[in-house]
Amino acid sequence: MIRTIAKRLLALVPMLFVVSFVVYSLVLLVPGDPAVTLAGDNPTAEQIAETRVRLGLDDSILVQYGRWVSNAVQGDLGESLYSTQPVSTSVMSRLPTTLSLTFAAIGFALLVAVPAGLLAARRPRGIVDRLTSVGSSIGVALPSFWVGLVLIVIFTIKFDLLPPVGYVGLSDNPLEWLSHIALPAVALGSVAAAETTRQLRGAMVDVLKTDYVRTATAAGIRQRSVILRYALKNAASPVLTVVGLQVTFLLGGSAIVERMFNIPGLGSLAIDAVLSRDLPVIQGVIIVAVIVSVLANLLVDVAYGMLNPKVRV
Amino acid sequence: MSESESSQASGAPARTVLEVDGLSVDFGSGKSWVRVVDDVSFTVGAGEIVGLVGESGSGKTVTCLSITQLLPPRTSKISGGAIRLGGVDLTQLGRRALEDVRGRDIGMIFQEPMTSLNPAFRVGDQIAQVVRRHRGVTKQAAWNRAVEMLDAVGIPSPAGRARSYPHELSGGMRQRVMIAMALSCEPQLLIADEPTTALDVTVQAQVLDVLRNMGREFNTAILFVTHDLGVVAELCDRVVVMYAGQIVEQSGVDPIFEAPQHPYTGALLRAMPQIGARRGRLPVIPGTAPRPGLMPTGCRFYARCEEAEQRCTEGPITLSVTADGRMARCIHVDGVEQQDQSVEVLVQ
Amino acid sequence: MAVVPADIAAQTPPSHGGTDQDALPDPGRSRRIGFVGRYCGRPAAVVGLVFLAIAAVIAIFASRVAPFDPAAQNLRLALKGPSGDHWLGTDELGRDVLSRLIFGARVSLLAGFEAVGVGLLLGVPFGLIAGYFGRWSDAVISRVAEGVLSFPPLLLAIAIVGVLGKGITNAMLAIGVVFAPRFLRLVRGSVLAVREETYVEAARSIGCTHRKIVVRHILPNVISPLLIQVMLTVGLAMLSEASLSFLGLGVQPPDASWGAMMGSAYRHVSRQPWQAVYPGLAIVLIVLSCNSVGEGLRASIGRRSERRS
Repeated sequence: MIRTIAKRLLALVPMLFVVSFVVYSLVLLVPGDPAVTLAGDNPTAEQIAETRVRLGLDDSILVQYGRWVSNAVQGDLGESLYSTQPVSTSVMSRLPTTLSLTFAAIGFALLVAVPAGLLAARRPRGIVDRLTSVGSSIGVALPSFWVGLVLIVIFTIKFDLLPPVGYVGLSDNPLEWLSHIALPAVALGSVAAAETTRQLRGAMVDVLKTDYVRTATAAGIRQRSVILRYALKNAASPVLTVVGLQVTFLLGGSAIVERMFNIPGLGSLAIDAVLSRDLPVIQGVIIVAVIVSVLANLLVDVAYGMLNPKVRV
Repeated sequence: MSESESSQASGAPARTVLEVDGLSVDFGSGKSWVRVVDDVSFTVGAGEIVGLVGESGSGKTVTCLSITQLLPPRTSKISGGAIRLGGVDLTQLGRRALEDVRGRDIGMIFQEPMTSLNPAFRVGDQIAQVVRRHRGVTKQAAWNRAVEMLDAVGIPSPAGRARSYPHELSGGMRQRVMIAMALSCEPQLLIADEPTTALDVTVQAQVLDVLRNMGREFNTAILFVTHDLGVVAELCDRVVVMYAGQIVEQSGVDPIFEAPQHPYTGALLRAMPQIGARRGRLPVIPGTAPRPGLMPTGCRFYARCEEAEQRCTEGPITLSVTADGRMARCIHVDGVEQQDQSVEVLVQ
Repeated sequence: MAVVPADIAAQTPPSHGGTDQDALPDPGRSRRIGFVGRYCGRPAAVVGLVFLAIAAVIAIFASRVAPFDPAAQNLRLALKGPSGDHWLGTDELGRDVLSRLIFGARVSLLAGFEAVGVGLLLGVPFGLIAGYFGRWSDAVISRVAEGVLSFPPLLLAIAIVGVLGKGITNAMLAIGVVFAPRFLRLVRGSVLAVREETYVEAARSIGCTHRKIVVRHILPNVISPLLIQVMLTVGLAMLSEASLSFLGLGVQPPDASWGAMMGSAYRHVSRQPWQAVYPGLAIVLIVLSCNSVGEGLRASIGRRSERRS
């Protein structure tokens, strides 16, 4: 198992090279002279010159990239063009917030998807299945900001049940964290919930048709444990892959939700950086988000191996 | 529809375990249903091995699955008859009661050993689960029982093998595991649906040995479904031949090989390859069986029968009982009585 | 719970006249009806197509359909509820919500197809190259695609917009780049599947040029799965456009877009909560339509193995 993980980690290295190069070459996309564009509104000649030096724009792109990567692997992602704070510091201080939001959203998605998927699969084309299918079709089409807006209207404006905006760290006060994260997590996780329901339903329907489920039924195993114990373990692996992909999606989607609910996470950092064209921060946020999503998918693969004895090496 | 109250003929070898009585099964949905099993009756006694023979589509598997009610609930229904296990009509049981009967009183083995075991669990655990389910013993006791059963079906180093996953075992080994699981709670009845069809010939012989020995040891009634008459000759005490959803012949195993009563059985026997026979083409049965829903009113084998004549098509053919207690659904068989109207089912 | 054994499956009659047709579930049946029949057998897909058509007509004739100029402000009428003049009310600048909604359809549809166009332009040629020529070109292209796929999509789009500058064109360019690997992978896979077919081998052996083989033999096989993917991706692209516009990175004022309307509704949510309903509903419906058309296509064209449920 450990060898497999090590192998997978090693395989990530070339991929991260490609990704980091893509991220770094964003600077090439800056219209006009990057130094002029990035120096801010109506920059003076000094500001432009200073920006040029700080970003090392006089060197060739490969030299620039090499310098950026060698600094990055040492944990140095450069400095913000505006606050002069190290990018790694601000990214790392916001990462836990985004992670907790993402995993709360995944948690919500699973909380909905597992019962819904199982109930729907119990009777394919039955009434529950049809309702679930309609629900998940609508669910995948729901924009998170609309769900968020509806939730805000219902829970904070109409009934004043939950705090509308803001964030409290999980380690500071778990209960407060939950009350602040609940609405954003639902808004962010609704698409994931619909998608996962669909996948789980499909996987369960397939598994329930298999010979080994018939064997378990023929051996008198109770229907409930046939579904929850025998079938679910087999159906879980394809679903897990989808959950891994969802993590990647949600890391991006969190930008909107963080913005709406005023949560100081990576996404809102990215948007602030984009609005002010703070290139080093944009690059830093993205590379960290990619690493997180890649690691999450690695975790998924490990879990996949545990569910699937055949995959285990 | 037979209403017969079966009373086992006196001098019968053993107590009746399973009695299928006038079973009819329909497939379809909504308002349109098609009969795929039509008025099937037979019994299996303790310690007895009954072969259920027929080509694919004859309804033998459907008959088997309806005994434990494993047919798809919304696209199939038992439309008539009773299935009695030790006197209890299984068709009248609710789901939870059925779940108690399955595995405890009836063990089942299926054709596909490669896919019949759950790939995500160790084989020992799969057997132990069944034991725990029906006997309520501790995990350790259930595991020990699983190892014991694996040993009994002839799996070498069973304690180690119990820890294997199905994909680590060969087809023959997996089928032994299936037998071990099916017999782990010492059921009164074992239903084996073509358990050796997917196996190599040598492995097939070993698995049949295991089945025979285990059946003898536990005095289990075995219903053995197959299309292979060679296996029937080797293993079974009695044979039920099905064709197009009906029983066409029922008899002890020796008489059927000596003198088949129904032309279909005869054709099946001639189609069997024989060792030492002169070389040449095997006779095949021309044509195909009629499809469910398109059954002729007369004899269902008419179109393929060498002895067919006009009166075969004139009306339903009844299952006649001959003087020596055999049954055949053919107009050319001189029956002493007709089973469909009889009160008594004479066997052997 | 129970399972249909192979034995029973074998009893299912082959296609043939007779009453038994209706009695047994017949998987081969839908094959005989043809593409249009199969598509029309799915109500959701038909409704989706009709809705898309209506939206397209409204978008094309927006200036004639809309009762007001979508940018005309009237601050005295700001944030009013529905009335005889303004059927859906007015926004914070007194602009007619219905008219903005109608013009927003134009932006959404255009944005969706623009982004998919960019995705196709990038994905299809590179997918063909990777699949057809294989070896190092495949290795390089596939690695890059894998790299792009590992980005959180919206975040990458936000970053690209951030660098290129705000605006709908840049936003769609960004989303197109993000979606390109989906098309690339699909095309590459289809090409790999077709490449070794006998007829392609035959074409190669009689000396057809690569170009001819690709255009005549390979592309036609790729088109139907591609069409399905396009429909499914258009929905996603419109959602992404709405997201970017909601954040203020897409459509710039005073242009109307459903996402931008949601954004302004959000800022005034405490005063007029109903404002968010219409653009939100419009987005949900159009995305739903694209998805159900895509699903309908998936179910009605292509090989049987691709059809599900």
